[in-house]
Amino acid sequence: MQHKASEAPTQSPRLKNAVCPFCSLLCDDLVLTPNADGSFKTAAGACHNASKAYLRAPSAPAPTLNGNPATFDDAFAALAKLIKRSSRPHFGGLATDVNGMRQIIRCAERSNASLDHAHGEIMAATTELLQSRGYYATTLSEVRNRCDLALIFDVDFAARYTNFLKRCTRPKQSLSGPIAKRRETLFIGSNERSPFDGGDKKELSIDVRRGEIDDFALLLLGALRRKTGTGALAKKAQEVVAKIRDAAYVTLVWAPGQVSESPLALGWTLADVVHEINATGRGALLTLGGDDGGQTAQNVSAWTTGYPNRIAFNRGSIDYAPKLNATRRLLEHQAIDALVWVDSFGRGLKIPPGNVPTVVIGRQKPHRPHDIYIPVGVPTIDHDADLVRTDSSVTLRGRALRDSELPSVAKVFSEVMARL
Amino acid sequence: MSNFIRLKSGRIYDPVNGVDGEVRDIFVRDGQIVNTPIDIDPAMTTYDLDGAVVMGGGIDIHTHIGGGKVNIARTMLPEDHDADPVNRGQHPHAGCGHAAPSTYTAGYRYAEMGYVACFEPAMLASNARQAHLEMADTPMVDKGAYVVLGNDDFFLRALRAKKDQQYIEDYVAWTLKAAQALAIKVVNPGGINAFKFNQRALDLDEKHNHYGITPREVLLSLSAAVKNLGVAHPLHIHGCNLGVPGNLSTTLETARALDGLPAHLTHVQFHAYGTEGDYKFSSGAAEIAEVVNRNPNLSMDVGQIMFGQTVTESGDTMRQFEGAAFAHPKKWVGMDIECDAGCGVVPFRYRDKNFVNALQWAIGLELFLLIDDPWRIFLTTDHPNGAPFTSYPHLIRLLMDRSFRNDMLSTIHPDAAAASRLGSIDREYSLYEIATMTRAAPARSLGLQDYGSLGVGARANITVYNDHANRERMFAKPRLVFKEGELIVENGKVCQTVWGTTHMSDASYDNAISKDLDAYFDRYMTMKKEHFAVHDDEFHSDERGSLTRHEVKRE
Repeated sequence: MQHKASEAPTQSPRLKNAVCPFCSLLCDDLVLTPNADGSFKTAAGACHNASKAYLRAPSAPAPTLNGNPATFDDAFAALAKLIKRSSRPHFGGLATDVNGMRQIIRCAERSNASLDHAHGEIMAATTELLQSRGYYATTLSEVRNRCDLALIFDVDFAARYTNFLKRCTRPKQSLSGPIAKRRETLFIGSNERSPFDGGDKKELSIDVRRGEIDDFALLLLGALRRKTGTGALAKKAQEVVAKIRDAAYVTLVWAPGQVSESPLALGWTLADVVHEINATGRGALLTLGGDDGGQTAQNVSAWTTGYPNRIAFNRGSIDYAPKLNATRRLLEHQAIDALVWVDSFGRGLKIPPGNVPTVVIGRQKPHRPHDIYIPVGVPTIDHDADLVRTDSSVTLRGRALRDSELPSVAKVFSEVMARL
Repeated sequence: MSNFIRLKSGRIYDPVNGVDGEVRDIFVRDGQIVNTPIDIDPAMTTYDLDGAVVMGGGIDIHTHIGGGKVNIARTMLPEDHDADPVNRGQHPHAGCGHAAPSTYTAGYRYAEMGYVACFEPAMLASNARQAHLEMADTPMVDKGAYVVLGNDDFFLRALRAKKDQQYIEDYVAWTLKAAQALAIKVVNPGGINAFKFNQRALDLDEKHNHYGITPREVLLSLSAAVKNLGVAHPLHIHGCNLGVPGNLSTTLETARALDGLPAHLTHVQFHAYGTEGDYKFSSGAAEIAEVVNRNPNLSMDVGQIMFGQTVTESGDTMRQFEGAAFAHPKKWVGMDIECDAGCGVVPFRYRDKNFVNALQWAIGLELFLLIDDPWRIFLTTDHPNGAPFTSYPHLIRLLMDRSFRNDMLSTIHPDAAAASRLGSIDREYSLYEIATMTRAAPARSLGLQDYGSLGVGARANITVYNDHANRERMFAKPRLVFKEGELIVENGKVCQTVWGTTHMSDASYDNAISKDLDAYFDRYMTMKKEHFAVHDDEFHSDERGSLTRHEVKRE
């Protein structure tokens, strides 16, 4: 449909409280105005990533087989044939919603497939942290209402989780009244990443170079244990510990996908710091991550199979081998003979290099032609969808915002299974 | 005529209708138990039971099968899964078993034990959607959940502001609907919230540092609300001081505080500890049994422990934080959740040679055996907190077989055996009593009139056991299990996958509460009220589940 500028603008209905699927914060207060091309304009308050993503018009391309247009029926049949022929298919990307993940797992069980999410490497590290020591965690609303000292470890808010500060540390009202007023937020990281301009005395930056964040966290831990270190960094750590001792509820915020050091090592230290704080006071860890349906894939996999991401079905049994089932490794070692890549949010998740028949089930047609391409709708925009938030405690259901002829990922896999 | 079934010559145990071991036929048509037809159609499917034991389908009133804390436990414990792998072929879907089973395995194993309904007792409203999604992926059984209140800041603020009882009831009714819950549970009343303010203990009459209210006030307000709303299951109470030596006095005081209000005290074994003896740890089972026996307003479940590895999953962050020191293996997770409640997941191994664990085992059994009325005590291990639910057949044998029980008693820590009166208790549960506490009584307590019964009009949920002197063997492997007339298990093995319904209590509320909540969510929460609520259509989104509404009438 052509939009005619000369026509009197019709009042587009504003869609309120849309659930944004484009990062794991799952902001659910978006106000959208439909554009004539099927995309949406976001009202003030949405982050730049969301604004850009909602502006993407549905292109509704047809499926392709070896680069040639095909019907959905043909594409489903071709995918079923490929999976049937394959002795070791791999389902990667896994950027989808709960129902999509449910069907992917059912299909994987029937076809002896292995599974790995696009952010599998980082999620494997945080899972290892959980499986080897555990930690005391918190959730977004707790931070917003309880936290009077937030320590943010080098999170790049310009890149992702942009609205975190607005939603969690900057609200002027909180359930525990005085807490919001006295709340201090410390950014511990490189100055270029700091979201603070020094204009607010309650928002301070402590300049710590990339690569030294873990050292700083260790110094914090030492200072909490009354071990005094020397040097400028140690002095800064002691100042932070003084604040920790005065705080009622400390939150350590980190994004394992954005740190330059080993997420497992840094996570371990942060978990230790929280443990030390909790010996006499209160503190908790908030992890920002699991974007692109990562947190959803982890949870659905855990409840249906018992194991989180990176499992393989093997003639009726489940092999949980997080190191072995990584997409990149399987491709490098040619341990799989077909790759089905699922990327329904349209962020263009990079497919690791490999030389096996590749299927893309995605929102956007990949630049390079693949053996099979099946377009799908965006969860919470083209169809109703459940997604798990970064703190893993809240699951939100976003309702479809527009009529769409594109199938969901769940629909694709159920059609494929019907043909297996 | 395939949906017309005759179960011929079974020995019937149906406490709802007072039938105790009578040999007769049961007829099933279209999923319901029906009268004996005038003409027996020879084409109807007939199962010749030849005196085999027939009970209704089992109902577990308290089992942690779905929601965030369960999924944390699953994610945390691959080594536990690896010790009990479940391959496709054993069940229609692969999964894993033992302490934190996958949803598939949990559903299949419940059915293979003759159970047809399971109730998740600690669903957080803020996590309700995930809990329902997990339960939707739990096959074979019907389900429902109790939503946790009493630690959420909205409620505590309302209590502090001395809002009237009507207002509290509206809020409780709204929460039931928003979370699609069947009943209300309170966990460490006010204590989970107090722990967020660094309070490390909160006894019944102790004041919450921030809100200035006491657990007693929380309990009385919520139990009255549940009663006045007409919700069938009374307030499900996980009291103060779980696991603390000496908590017996708190439990007795809690029972007194309720003063005749209906209440269900859950996993009482963990709340029945005195401080007598050399170990300053003793059994309070007799005192609690006496109170329960005397007060018909009270029911309870035990939360029996069994020796071996398990994982404890609880909303009680305050107590789990203390328990984390005993984690085995050494790892655990705690979490403050959404100004709603919290959770703590701590793996644990109960040891028979450890005095405290051994006495815990004995205390649970004492409670079972000293409480007279099987209509008011339910068989649970608080899965998986005391033990995985798969230990029920063993537990039933302990209750039904005194000499077996005494043999077991002789193997535990000798000081614990000596400190317990278990050896002197002669009581053995009868099949009729087992049918009461695992079928009839939970159905009645939950208000599910057509469950747990073999009477005409009941849902044809039927379990047939081959009679065996070894009750553990008998209850571990039913010969036949029917769910609403469908044969789902044969000789202890799933033969057909079915998907159950989800029960919820629908109570009316004044819309004024909804407006207050809109403002509350907008001002304080990181999600909108409209997204917090789980909507009816969500139960059909995967074409498996359904929602069964029970309209309740407010007094």
